[in-house]
Amino acid sequence: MNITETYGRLCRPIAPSPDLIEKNLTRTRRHGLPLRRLAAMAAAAAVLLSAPALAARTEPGYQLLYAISPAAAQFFQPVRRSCTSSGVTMEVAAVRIEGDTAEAYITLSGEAVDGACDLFDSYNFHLPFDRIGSCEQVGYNEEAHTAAFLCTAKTMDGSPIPTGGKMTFSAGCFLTGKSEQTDVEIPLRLKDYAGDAAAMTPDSAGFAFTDGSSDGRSRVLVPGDALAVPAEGLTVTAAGFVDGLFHIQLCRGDASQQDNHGWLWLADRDGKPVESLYTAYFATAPGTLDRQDYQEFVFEVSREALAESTLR
Amino acid sequence: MVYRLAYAQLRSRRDADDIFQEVFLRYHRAAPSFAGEEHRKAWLLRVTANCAKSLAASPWRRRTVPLEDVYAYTDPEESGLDAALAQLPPQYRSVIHLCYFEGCSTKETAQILGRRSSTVRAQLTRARQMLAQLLKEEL
Repeated sequence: MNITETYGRLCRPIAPSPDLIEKNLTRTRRHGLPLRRLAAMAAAAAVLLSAPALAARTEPGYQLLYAISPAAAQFFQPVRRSCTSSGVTMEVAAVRIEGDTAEAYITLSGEAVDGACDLFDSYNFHLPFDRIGSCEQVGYNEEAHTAAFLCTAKTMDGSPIPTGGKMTFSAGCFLTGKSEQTDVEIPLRLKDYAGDAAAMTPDSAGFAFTDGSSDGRSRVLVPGDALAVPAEGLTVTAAGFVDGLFHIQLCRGDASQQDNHGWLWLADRDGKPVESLYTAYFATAPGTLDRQDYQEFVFEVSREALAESTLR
Repeated sequence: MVYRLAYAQLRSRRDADDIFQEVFLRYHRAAPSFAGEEHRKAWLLRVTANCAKSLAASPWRRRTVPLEDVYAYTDPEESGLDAALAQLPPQYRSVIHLCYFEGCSTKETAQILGRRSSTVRAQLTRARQMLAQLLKEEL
């Protein structure tokens, strides 16, 4: 083997990507570099590009990571693996494992990506031990329609995550086009619902008590027709008393497709807010195309006081 | 030139990307004046070598295992040499690269890398021996 010749063949394809060169030049232009030096730099870049570049790509997501946190870009291991589906590119920009914590910067790019999108709890670190995770949006580039997320997984028992092995990260979907409305008036005459209502025990339900208790209540209203539509995708489907407590039911549609959610409270005759005692969550026809998710607010209020209250 | 030397030392495209940006950022900030193209080339190679050395020595990088992030070659001779190069110490790879690809003399290589000429000659000899052993044939 002629090492000089073979080594020359090895080196020729090694070159920075056109994107990387363009980024350098763009940054230089933005800083108002004198034309003479800009020309010299362009010439130097052209020399470096004398061989055809291979697929050493610089993904926009990684560029965003640099913009958001240069320190993170420095201390995270760049990955820059991406895939595109339906016009949206997901990139694992960089990862880091430190002790019991694994972190990954994920970016989404595409026309459908907006500043309020999230990964809809569909992300997962495929690791062979129990863990807890979180995900937060850490940046958004409006021009590039690119959002960056920091996803974190931590071992439950605090044991260190082995480094050097393969770690797979996946995300199933993302939620976009979110909007938020507050202080929406709901035109429902509560005195019309001061009577007992039909109730049922759902197959499975979750309960969130505002005082942290759990008193074993399990009955919810039987879903009915729309009584009011506070916002698109949210419908009041039942209201009435069950076991001496006032229930009001909000249908959220299929929560596995759209994470519609709301928060209802009563305002007493003085306009003072009355928070719910607890909230119940359940679904009908789960696992089917007819799935409907419900959020039910339960208030400790007398029938007389209810007649003088309004719903918010 | 910059990118190739960075890759030769670090054997990571991502790291080479970072070094490439860092070198041109320094070029932009320092705004050095050069006596000629050879001077400019030597400056760029020297800064590249220093940046790559700093990155390789950073505590974070020393405590991590880089992901597979290298160029792949289909030709058996090329992939064999590439695999052998991967097993050389980084300081040997930079000597090999500057001498064999950039055509630098041992004196020029020593100046770029900030080493003594005798050190570069010894490293070049040792690198050739290691490659010969790894490739199991005479160079």
